[in-house]
Amino acid sequence: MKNNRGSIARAGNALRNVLLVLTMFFVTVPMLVVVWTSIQPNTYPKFPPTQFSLKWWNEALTGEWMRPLALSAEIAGIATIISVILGSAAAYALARSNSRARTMLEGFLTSPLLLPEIVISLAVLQFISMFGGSWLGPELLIAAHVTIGIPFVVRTVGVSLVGVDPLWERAAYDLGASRLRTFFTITLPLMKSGIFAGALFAFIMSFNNVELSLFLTSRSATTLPIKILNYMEFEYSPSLAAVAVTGMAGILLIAVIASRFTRMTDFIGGR
Amino acid sequence: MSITQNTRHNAQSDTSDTPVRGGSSVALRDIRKSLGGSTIVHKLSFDVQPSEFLTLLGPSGCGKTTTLNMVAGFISPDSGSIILDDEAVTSEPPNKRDSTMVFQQYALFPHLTIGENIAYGLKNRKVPASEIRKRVDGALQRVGLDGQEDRYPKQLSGGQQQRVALARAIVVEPKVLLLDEPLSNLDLKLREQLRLEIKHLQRDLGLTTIFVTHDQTEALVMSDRIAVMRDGRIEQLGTPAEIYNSPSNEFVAGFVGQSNLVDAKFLRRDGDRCIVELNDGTQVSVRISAEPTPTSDTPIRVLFRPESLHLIDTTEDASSPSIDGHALEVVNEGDNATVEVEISGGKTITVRVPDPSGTVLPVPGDSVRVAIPSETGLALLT
Repeated sequence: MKNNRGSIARAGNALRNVLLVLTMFFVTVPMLVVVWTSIQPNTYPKFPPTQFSLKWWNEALTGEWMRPLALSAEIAGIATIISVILGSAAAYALARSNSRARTMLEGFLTSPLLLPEIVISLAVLQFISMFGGSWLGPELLIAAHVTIGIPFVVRTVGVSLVGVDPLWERAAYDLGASRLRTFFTITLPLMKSGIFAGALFAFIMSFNNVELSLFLTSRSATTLPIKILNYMEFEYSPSLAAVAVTGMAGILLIAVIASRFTRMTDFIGGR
Repeated sequence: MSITQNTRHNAQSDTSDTPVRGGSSVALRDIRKSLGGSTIVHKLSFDVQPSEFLTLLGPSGCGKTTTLNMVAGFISPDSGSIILDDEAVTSEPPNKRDSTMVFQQYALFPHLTIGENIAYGLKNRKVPASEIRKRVDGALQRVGLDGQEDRYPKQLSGGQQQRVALARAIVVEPKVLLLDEPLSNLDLKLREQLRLEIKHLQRDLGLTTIFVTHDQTEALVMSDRIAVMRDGRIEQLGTPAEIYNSPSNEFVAGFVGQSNLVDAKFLRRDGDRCIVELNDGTQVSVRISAEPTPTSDTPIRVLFRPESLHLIDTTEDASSPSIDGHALEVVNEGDNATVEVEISGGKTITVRVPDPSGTVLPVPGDSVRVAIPSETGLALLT
């Protein structure tokens, strides 16, 4: 009996490990293919890989690609900062308000996630032309990206605020800290993990965004995903893979830095 | 146990480092507060003397916590004033008031170490870093947690966390220390131990303290004076002995200590006592709590504490008045026993038998006679 149970447990463990490996494989293979494409010499990579070449990187690491990359990073960075400030403020207000108003507002603030982004993009475009504006460019993109960044921040910060007992704020206030000081010394450090997680999501949503940016970029100010899309309409080159790897590396770096500052995995995986 | 001894030892050896402060006075004048249409506190006034330990005692919903929160500044009264050391602080926010609170749920900052938690109030007061260090060490010693400053609240037990909360509150040397049911989340043994520790600490430091509790034993053990509250009013304010021995009404009598309330009829005044007649015709001389003197034949209630009554032999010729009845329930707890006696009229009274080992206790159903030593009862107006 005991033996039997032991072997069932072992089989369960083995099955779990197999599933884990398969899942990770499923998630990483497309990325590995992209990486591999960028470091081999053929336009259409052959399997199994035999040769190594960095020639596509020469084409990728040029102004043509690095300018959109830098613009994407800049837009994503600014949009993230604005999303974090507005989203955190909203999340804090929601967490400290009563339940009915809270449900409604939360729904409202997360509604941009429910609409297809292309619809939002179109709406923003129409909105701007309604007011006679014809300007497209980074500012408009930032504004649009903030609308989809906020819902992520509201959610992640909201979840982290559930763990912040208002009693701690009362205790700090009682011990002589002003409201502002209470916020910066007690509340903010305790909602940090939610802020980092939200910021990372907001950044990625902006950095990788195609649909929302589609109608809002101008010829002089094109983000990386839009540039890739435009390029691929007419031609194909593995240098795209090299560009994509550069972007991926950037996001990976940010994720690593973020996880050093805070145990974000706690946040995503639950405590 | 060793912690208690440590704390006492440290508390004594420490008194030379930290000067004992004279303590400050607190006064509440005509405080009124209503919330959502119902009045929580009615025109409440009381004074806390310098270095006094005053307890607000009452059932939940009596307004004691609201009152404490008004002293702290978390709630502002609708009218009236709060005076801290002759200075009105009624409209000052909590961070500008020189009071600190210990909460029922400890409320330690989870992301800060024990040392940082205790230093928090000092940093807000811009105390120099070197002095903060010294004072934090001193406070930790006082509560018997020296050497724990680098640990986090989660790593400590409930009792230790509450000691840290206490250290955090006293380290800033507040004018008044506010304790909001600080022992209610702890188990009985720890509660008994901590209430003595808190009392010692308060006395050593001469800290003016307002303590809120619904636990009458805590109130009796710790307080210099107790304010028994009900429905937003103070029913009685007095020393523990006054509250216990001479409750001013049935509510206080029932809330503090065990009590037997027996219906009786007022007969006449007899000096500072009075003669009452119990239902079975027995006449007893009892103390009387309140003026004015009731008129003859007024129905009143007489309070007998269980420990003031004795069981005597039914055949014994009573030298003092007595009531006959029969035993309903007998509970022997070893060091004392309680006997529930049903008397005429279906009423039950409780008699405590100290040290039951030497006596023969009745069994349920036995006829018993309860002796009422003179002047043990207290007449309460209904």
